[in-house]
Amino acid sequence: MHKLSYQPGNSLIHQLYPLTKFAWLLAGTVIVFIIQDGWLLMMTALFFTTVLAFINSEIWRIRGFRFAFLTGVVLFVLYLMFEKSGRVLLDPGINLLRITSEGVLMGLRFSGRFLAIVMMSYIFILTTDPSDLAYALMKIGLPYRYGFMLVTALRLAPVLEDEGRTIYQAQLVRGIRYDQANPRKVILLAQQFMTPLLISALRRADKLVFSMEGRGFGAQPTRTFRKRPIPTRFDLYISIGLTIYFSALVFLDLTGIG
Amino acid sequence: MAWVEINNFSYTYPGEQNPTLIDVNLCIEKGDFILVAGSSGSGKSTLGKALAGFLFQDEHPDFSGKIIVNQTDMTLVPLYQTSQRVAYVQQNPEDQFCTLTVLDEIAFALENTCLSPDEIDRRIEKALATVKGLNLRDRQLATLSGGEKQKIAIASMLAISPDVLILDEPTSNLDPDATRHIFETLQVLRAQVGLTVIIIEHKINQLRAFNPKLFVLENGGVVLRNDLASFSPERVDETFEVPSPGDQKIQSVQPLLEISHLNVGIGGKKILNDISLKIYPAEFIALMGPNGSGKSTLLNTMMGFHKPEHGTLIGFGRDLTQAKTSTLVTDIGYIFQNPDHQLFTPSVWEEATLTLKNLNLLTDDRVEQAQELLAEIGLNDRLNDHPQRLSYGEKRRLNLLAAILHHPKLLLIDEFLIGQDMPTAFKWMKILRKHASEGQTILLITHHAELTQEYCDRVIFMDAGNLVIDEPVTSAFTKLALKGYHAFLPQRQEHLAYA
Repeated sequence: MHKLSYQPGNSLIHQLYPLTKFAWLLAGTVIVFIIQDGWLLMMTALFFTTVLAFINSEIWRIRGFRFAFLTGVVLFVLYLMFEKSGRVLLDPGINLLRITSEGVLMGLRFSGRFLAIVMMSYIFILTTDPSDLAYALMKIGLPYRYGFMLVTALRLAPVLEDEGRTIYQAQLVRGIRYDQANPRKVILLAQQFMTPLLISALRRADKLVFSMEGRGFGAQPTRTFRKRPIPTRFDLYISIGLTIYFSALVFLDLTGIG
Repeated sequence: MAWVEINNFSYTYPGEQNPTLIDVNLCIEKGDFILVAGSSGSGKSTLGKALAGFLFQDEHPDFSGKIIVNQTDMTLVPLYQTSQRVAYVQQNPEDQFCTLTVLDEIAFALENTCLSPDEIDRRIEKALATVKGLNLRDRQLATLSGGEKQKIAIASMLAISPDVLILDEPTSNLDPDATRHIFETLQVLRAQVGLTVIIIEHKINQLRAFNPKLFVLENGGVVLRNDLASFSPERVDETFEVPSPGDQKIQSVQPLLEISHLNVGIGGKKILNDISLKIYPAEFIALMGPNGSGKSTLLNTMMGFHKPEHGTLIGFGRDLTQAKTSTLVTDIGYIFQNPDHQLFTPSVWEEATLTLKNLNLLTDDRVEQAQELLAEIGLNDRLNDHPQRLSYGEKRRLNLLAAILHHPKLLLIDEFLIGQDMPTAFKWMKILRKHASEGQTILLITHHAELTQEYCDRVIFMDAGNLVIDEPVTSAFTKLALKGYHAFLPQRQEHLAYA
């Protein structure tokens, strides 16, 4: 299993400007809530699933993907089983298995909406370096002190995750049994786990402060940035394409053609 | 006037009674290459931080005297201007990095001082070229090796063009090969850039070739030593008889642990490749090899943290690949690299007896033994103190005690000697040798070739996940020399490399 995090690559989506992707993630999320037609939503989910499969052929091995995908499928099945209004499409004689037109449409709507948002989010996370996003946000006006909160959090999160794993292992080799803990003991175990982790985190934060402030962080009201990628024509083309796609979806949904 | 001048400088940490530095006087000329040595806890890092201006940012710092760098009083410089005078490279680059990529890290200070993008790029290229790190330009920091990270930490400071560069034990986490690369980088800084470099280091032998000025911290003060060629940190006196290591395996007895064709992968990457070896009772084994060679993974697999993809691991009468870590604890003790990660309880006594309590072995006899051993390691008057309040050396002693009180047959130790001065490292090796002689098997990950040669029975050397050498100590180093691992040889055996 791989972590759900940025994975460097050379796909076209990787090369998009981070803010372009961020803006389209937000816009896409809003639009799938506007659209009510189940078929259009499921088509959108399939479209983004295909894009995702092109970006990462081993998407099944990304942590959480199978769970999210199955959740979408289960949502669809649940609506099939429990939404009984509308025209009957299939009736094998058992109420729970009787499928109605409204059950299909509702299932497609909620499952399609859920999966479309999940797929768009996966595409964004897997192809966008979070520090590039933070720097892009700072360049368009986010105060750099806040921008660096994100950068340093991204910097420290894996370090603390590693330390947490080491502390857990160090507890196991001292005979601490998590699998035999009663509720009272769980509090003690949590305390024994958190104490070294917290102390370590505070020490790291202390050193990081010296490292950052020692190198002039916070001394000036603003800062410059080294040369970084900027939006290209490709961002424009993709944005035009997505605008046409989503406009068509909204048009079809509003006119009922879909 | 000298480039760096310290006059009658004393410093006491907040909350402490005794000063760490007392009346320190020091003169350093521009372009000097300074080596600061001294025992652990002697105040070397404190001196480095004082020079870098880090100690004077509190509201009421407790110090006297002056520190002048290029005519600037560092006690008066605000923190955000310090690195333009004195750049301080921390012991662990992970503590210093505040971004995620090589380019961002080197650009960080330059962006903060509002340099133009063109100038930032020019300085990045220059700094990377100086540390011979241009090939690392587009890398994520998380993907760099320890030595590469240290190079980038140095480059990020060089880019600021400081007057003085201080490096606080920059090689303590590095294998001998990476250490050599860092020292060569420093030589370049000295020869080509003419930068004033102050390095705080225990590895004096490897720095002799650079002919640095040696300052030794003793009793809070600093002494200039003009005898670098002959200077050697004093060895501790014998406090007990230490049996000599044996050079032959005890082939007649049953092995404690038998590993056969072990393959381990993590996250789809192969880490251990077809490892086979036997470990016998009462052996003191050094597990050596470059950073990333799979040493820690081997220990972790023995302890049940990784499940092998292939191969067997038989020990203590069972298949360890199927055993849970919790069931191995009675037979195997494990000491991790960082002492802080393995101190969990609110008192020294509870910490020492935690494993005994968890294994239901806290009998009167064991309590008595715990008290005796705590007295032996000098912690009997600190039983109620929080373990995190102990000094580094005291924490290490408590780690060892806590790992052995339940008498595990095998003790796995990961890089125990990092950051320890030579007398302390000798002392630890004697203690471990004594345990081995009393019947405990010890498998110690270490880069100390000299100590290994003197105290261990056997060397297991790994490289890139493969077991390269598994031999008694004397023949192991001869074979290492023949295979070209020159940086891993004891100093006095380096001639073997050319034999």
